[in-house]
Amino acid sequence: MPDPWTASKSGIGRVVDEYSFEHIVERARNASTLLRRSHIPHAIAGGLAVHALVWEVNGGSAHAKGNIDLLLNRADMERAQGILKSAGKESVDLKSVLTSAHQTRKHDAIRFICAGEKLRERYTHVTPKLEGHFCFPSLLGFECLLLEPLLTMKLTSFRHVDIVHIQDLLEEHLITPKIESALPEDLQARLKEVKDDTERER
Amino acid sequence: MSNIHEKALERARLVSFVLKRAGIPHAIAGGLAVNALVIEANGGIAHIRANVDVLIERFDFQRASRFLAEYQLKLIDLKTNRRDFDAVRAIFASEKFNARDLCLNPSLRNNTAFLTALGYINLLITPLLTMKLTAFRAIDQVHVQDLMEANLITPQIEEALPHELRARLESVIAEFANDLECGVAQRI
Repeated sequence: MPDPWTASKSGIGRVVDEYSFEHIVERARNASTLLRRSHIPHAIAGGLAVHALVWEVNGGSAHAKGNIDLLLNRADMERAQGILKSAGKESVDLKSVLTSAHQTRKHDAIRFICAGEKLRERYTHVTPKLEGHFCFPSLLGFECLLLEPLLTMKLTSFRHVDIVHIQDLLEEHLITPKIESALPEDLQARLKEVKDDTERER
Repeated sequence: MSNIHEKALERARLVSFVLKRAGIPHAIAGGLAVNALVIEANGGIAHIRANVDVLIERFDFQRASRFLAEYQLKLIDLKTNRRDFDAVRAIFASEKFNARDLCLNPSLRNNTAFLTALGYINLLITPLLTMKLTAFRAIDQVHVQDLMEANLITPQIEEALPHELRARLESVIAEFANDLECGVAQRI
């Protein structure tokens, strides 16, 4: 058994590499590049997008996991799925099987989120539409959802992990009064709740 | 490149290596500890960022600071500074982190840690879960869900928890189940 103190890339290092955050960022980058080349409007959303925004500010990190959430139009889903699937066969970097977010629990699958739709019936807001200026080319190399629509998504789903991501954005002072005031009223109330809770946690 | 998480792992490895060599009992806690357990269970990765939290005895703080400083690692008391993510953040064993907390931080005297395959000494799941359910901020609940998702919280572990913490775990489980009910896409 290898000594973990000197574990190399051959043992547990291989497992770590497979799950490494850099590996996940690379997969997101590859997926985004392929879709961009095919002129399919898209944006990376979720924790990875939060991480990209925090990273741009000061090279810091958000509480991101291995999920790659991809926002795209329902009309493009099948084509995007085909493109990524075929690339997956050819590339070791994009090995995950592309599946709909509603069908997978696999932590290495790219998860599609349809733009302009409610992710859940009970949600009060639809996911951002991919029109106008909705994304930017992040320093991490993928098309990243802009802060405003990302924040709207996070405040709409409002699970614990979303709250943590909002806290990450608040910590970096990314949520300006202007952004805050542009939010719908119900989401402004939720943001205030997060701010109050964060203050209490301190 | 965003290799900040890998750097955190390297830092945790170095911290643990230095403290072990100095004979200072310790265990990596926090998100990196959750991550180590999740990776070992082949459950992907946990929600982590770059901070390294280490559980040590209060009376070892100065000595640990000196040893870590030799490797350009700054040790701070997490309670006095939550914002310095570049520093290694000490949490003191067998003390309450906040006066209102339901439980003490784990002791380092009862086999509460193990050497992970990632190369650092890590808290075992039961004391780690106890810490997470005691602190119970949004991030702690996310980490509990990470452990659940990796099927690490067994009925035995659950039963060993104090009554109040079991109730908290139930509430996390309920939210987790609610996510599943409404579609796997919403799972963390």
